Amino acid sequence: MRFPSAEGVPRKGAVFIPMIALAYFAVQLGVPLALRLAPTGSVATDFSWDMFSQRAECDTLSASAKLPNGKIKALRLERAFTSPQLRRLLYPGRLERFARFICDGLTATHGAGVGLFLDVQCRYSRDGELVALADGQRNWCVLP
Amino acid sequence: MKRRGSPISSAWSAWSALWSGDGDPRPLACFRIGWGACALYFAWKDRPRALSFVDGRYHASLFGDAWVPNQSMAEALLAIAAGGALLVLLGVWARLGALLFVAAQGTLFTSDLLQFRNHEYLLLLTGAVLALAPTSAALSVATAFGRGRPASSYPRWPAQLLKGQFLVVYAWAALNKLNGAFLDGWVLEAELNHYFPKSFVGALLRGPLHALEPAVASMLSSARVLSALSWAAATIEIAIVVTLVWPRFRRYGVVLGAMLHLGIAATMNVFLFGVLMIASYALFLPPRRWQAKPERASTLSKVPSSCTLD
Repeated sequence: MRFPSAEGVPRKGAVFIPMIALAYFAVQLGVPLALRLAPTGSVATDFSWDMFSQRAECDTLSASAKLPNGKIKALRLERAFTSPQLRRLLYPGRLERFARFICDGLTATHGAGVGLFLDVQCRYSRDGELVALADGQRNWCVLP
Repeated sequence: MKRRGSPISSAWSAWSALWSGDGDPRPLACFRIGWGACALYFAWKDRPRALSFVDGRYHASLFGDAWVPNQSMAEALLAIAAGGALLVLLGVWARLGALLFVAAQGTLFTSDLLQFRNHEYLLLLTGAVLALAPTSAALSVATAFGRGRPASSYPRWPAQLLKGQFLVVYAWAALNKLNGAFLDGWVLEAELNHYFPKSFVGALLRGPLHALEPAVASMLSSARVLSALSWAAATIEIAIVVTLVWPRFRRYGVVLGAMLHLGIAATMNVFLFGVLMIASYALFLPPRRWQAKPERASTLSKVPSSCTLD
């Protein structure tokens, strides 16, 4: 199928444009739909056009590093990240990657035997239950 | 005997017809100017972002452990993005300008999703369309000085694609708000209490000691008021989608949208996103004189650079 232009000459690429548009809008509708159907707090909602529609309130948010000599060092996440950045970090997949980054850095500085402990519990509605994104017991520097 | 096609082929023909034919280049040129101004302002305001790319910081890249620029590279990318936005604004090599913006700003955007912002994502998506569309055909420096090739007929698909994109944004913005946490005012409570005191209206409503007037402060903590505002926001966004889809009601959609974005800008300081959305209204509702009298190719360059919806 070729579309005629005003002069009756078929436009270049006219065959593919409806197909590309269909694929484009399938992504634009499908990605936010998939993110909306996922359990709240389980996946990051970037690319879903969720402007001002979500809130996470974290009653517990702490991170600590255990050095090879046994000393515990508190990591101030709220100083390293702004509040919106921190909210975008608090998803299971992202926490996993973030923990790997921190553990690599700790190992490079202090050597093997370091530990990272995260305790993150958030709620996603006024009366919602607290969801444990990180339970505080797990050493994230040790592979499960 | 006339043969009727299957429902699928009929639907495909109707879909294909949306993207076919020619249109007036001026509404898209109007949008290009609005987009260029927004992108230039964004790239300028975003300069401190380069500091976040200092070595040793964590970045949540879209592509896993992919390469992430360092601070000096981030500064260079922001300068390239600003240059590209300026080209688009002026309509000089606008496609190249949009491409430069999308490539440079897109690199920073995908390098750290912790800094994800919806207006940046929208600028990149719509910028990619502008990189493919010959938008300098009207209301550009090139045509004003008699250079370039003004087009009498112009492919309709870029404007259609952009209109579809803006409808998708409004529709998802509304649908995502249809959840208990938003509709009972819990989400808005946090957002308004954070943004409102620093906003233009908030500044006007401050009493002595720079605190909000007690009546205003109690409104911002009233679950009923916040819930009513939340329902209103979701309803208005749904109404905007419905009215913008039907040409007969578009003027109401434009008025509703302008009021919504001006209200958000005045009370929450969210400025750039609203300007970009309002710029898209030139695509939905071009000035009436453009609709009534399609211009000839030779006169397109003389169109006054007014983007008002008269």
